[in-house]
Amino acid sequence: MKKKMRLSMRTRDSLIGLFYLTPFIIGLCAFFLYPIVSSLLLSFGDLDEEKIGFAIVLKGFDNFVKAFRTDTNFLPRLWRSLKSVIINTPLVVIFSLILAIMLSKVKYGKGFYRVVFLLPFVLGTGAVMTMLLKQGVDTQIISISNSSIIPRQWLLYLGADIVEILDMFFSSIIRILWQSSVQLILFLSAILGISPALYESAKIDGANAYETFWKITLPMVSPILLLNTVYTIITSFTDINNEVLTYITDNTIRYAQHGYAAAMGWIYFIAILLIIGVVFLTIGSYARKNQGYGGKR
Amino acid sequence: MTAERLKKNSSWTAVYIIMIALVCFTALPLVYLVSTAFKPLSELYVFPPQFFVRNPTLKNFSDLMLALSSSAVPYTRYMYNSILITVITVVLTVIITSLAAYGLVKHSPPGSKTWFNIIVAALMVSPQVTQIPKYLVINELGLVNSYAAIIIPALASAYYFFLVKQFVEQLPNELIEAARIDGGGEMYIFWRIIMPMLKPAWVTMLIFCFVGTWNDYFSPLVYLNDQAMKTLPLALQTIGTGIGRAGAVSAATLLMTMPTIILFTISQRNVMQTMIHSGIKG
Repeated sequence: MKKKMRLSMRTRDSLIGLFYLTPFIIGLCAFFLYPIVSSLLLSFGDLDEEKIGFAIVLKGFDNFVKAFRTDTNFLPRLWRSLKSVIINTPLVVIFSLILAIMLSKVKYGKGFYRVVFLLPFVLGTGAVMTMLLKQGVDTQIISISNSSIIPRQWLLYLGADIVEILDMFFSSIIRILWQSSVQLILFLSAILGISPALYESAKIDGANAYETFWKITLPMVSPILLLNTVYTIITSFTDINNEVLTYITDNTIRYAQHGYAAAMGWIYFIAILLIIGVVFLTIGSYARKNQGYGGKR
Repeated sequence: MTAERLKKNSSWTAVYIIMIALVCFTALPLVYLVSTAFKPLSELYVFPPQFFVRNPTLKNFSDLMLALSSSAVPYTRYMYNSILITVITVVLTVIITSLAAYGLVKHSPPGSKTWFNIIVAALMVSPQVTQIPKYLVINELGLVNSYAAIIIPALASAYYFFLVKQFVEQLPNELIEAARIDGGGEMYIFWRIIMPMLKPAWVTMLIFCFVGTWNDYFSPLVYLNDQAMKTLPLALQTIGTGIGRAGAVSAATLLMTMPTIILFTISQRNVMQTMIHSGIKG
């Protein structure tokens, strides 16, 4: 007791904080730090097949040389997946922000819209979605050219080119919509949390809708903007159907090339890290700049 | 005045039209799911697949009952497994993550920056990369083929941490200080002041975590060997292996998604309203 009394306020405070953090840190160490370190080791070698269990034989940079030089399948896949993330992420984030602003203004049937827009997420993470995709929900059923939603006569009237453009348009809308449900909900809750007084005073000062968006809504949701951008990038990178990941999994399970798979995993991880780093530098600093914006809270 | 009102009305109409159109697109998979559950066998295998059911039937559900009653493990057992694992995971995740985020941000112990950076790094690593070492850790701990093998690794999720942390940062320090001056103990402050104010954050986390765990197919497949311990998504797969059971599978799929949809429908109001009234902002 005496010893505890001697601790300063500050030390006591940080000890309590450390105590709160402990369970999480233990989990992080056991199921993230240790596995990631051993996978890093593994990427510079391979599993020792003569020993039972997890014994690594180090081989130097062999695996990395193989990924960049020998393997003709890996780099194109990596490139394609990076490209699709760079194109997709802004689309998803901007789309969900616009939709969230629209939703925040809707007066009738709020709950209905929210539930519907989160449906893809509720369905989308598990066996159910895999099953639906296997049946071609995204390609065959929604594609207007052979579906039953629009009568065939209309399609003939429109002509093949227009149908194709419409098809592409709809399928990309659907793809983006299905990816943006979580982002939408997070944006919506952030927008609804902005004090109406801010908007009122802006209105009195004669700000139009455009100015209000740039000066109030966007700065106020900027922490969530960062969260959403990072989340979008990560979900598309860690998606089970991602080309690179399926290739890595194939190498692990089918060909038992554990070391090579780990090396590819690390190359992939560093690519993600670079993109997220750019995001943190841009959106992150924007969010930090706006902290405490909008008067005292 | 009337011109302005007309303009306002027409822009509202446009907003609603766009919203309804988007709702239609978004709801497509669910509508398809529901209509497939009622399709007779003759319509299930039509190519290209038909969107709406022509002759709705309840035969799929009775097929499902038949398939379930003839399996070696009663289906209530799968349901029990799923519910047990999901509830424990969700409750523990909410407590551990909120505690950690609050501790990191408001108490800022030494090294908290480093830990935060590690957590952000953990966000970016896809589960496949660490799969094999992770399995070995779980194996070493002797957890394979126990519920704990699914629950414990799921508890420290970097994404939920990141989510809650963004909310904790917005809590005013003055409130915590005031409680401390009034003589509130640390636990009292956490449970009576922090948790109520963080409600929107952890309700959101609760929904995400519930959906994720409930639908998780991979970890039960890898870590559970005992048929009697498997969860609903795996059971769904076993139903599908029987001949002519495609209808039963679509019925089962529909039933399996119901809890998550109901949970979200109930709690979305909560998420939004507490957000507005919690005093977190404004």
